[in-house]
Amino acid sequence: MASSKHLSTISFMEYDAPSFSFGSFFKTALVLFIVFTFLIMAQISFLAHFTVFGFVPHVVLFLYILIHIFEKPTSGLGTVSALVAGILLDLYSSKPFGFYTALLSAGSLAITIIKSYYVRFPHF
Amino acid sequence: MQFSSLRSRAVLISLILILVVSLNLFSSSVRNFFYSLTSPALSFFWEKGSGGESETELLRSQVHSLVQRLVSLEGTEEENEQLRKALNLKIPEKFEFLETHILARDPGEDSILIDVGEKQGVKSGMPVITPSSVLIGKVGEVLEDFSKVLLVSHPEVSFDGKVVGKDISGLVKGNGRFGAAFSLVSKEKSLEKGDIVVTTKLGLVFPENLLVGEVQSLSSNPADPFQSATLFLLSEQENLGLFFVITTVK
Repeated sequence: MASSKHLSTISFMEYDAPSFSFGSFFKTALVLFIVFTFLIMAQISFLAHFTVFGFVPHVVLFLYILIHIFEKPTSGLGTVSALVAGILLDLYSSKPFGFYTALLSAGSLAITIIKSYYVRFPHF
Repeated sequence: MQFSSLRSRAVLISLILILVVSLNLFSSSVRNFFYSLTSPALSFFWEKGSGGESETELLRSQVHSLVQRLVSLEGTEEENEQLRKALNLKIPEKFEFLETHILARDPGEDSILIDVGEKQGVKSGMPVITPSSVLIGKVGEVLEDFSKVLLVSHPEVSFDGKVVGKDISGLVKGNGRFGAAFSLVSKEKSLEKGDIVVTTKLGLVFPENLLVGEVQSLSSNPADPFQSATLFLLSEQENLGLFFVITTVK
């Protein structure tokens, strides 16, 4: 495992991230797709009427961050949630397709790398 | 197959990203299809969120209607004066419009989704107003059955405006996050807090005398030859969900 090596001796691409399979990927993606679809619809049509300190609560982003903080290293949930949330935000956005997918995926990779090297959260 | 390294994750993300980016080739059809699937739920959520037409909202709408009548009367007064001078009759403006309902509002982009599109004759650039003639914005992206409306606060929206009852004109420009500014106003003019700003015909962006907003705060830089003001958009008070897309101005 990468944690046994010295940080300076490996590139981030060599780091052995926790594994997840294709089967679990699609199962997780389906569940997350349903959850995020519900959340994004609630956000743009229901929560759009309410503001907290002048801001409309961004529940999709909130869940995305929560997943990344509390995901188990072996789940791959963060990557899947970034892709699913990104695609859904792209669907409802006026920006070109791929904008939010790229943004959230890049964020997901960055958080994974930072967590792998510098942060240790307790997993439940 | 196992995604056992960050390299695998990066490859997976890249592949899906390429697929998603390729959707841009037929983005209108994809979005239209997805909106068609989710529009009943969006409509349901919107109604639940707005809580129906509350008494306050109806009263606000009536206030806007009365202000609009005032603007029209002042416009008529000016017009009468001009007519007296020119002895020339002018046909008042009339609109042809499409009734539409709001489905969703994107807080990040100052845009809303409405349930009329290309099939119903909507075109990009058409003005969208409330029943009390408060300007909401203009149509941006048009899909088959849906359209995106860029709100007055959208940074891409700018047009000429004037102050009701005063000889003051300037530029209304969206600032994003549901805010707008009234700028390029001559410093010699007495712009005041509470002044009502309406549209003008200049620039041919919107029909004239549509209510835009109320001057909220003034700012003036000594080095700047113009003064500007922050606008409170009246459209922010209108939450009825029923709008009109102006298709023709007669």
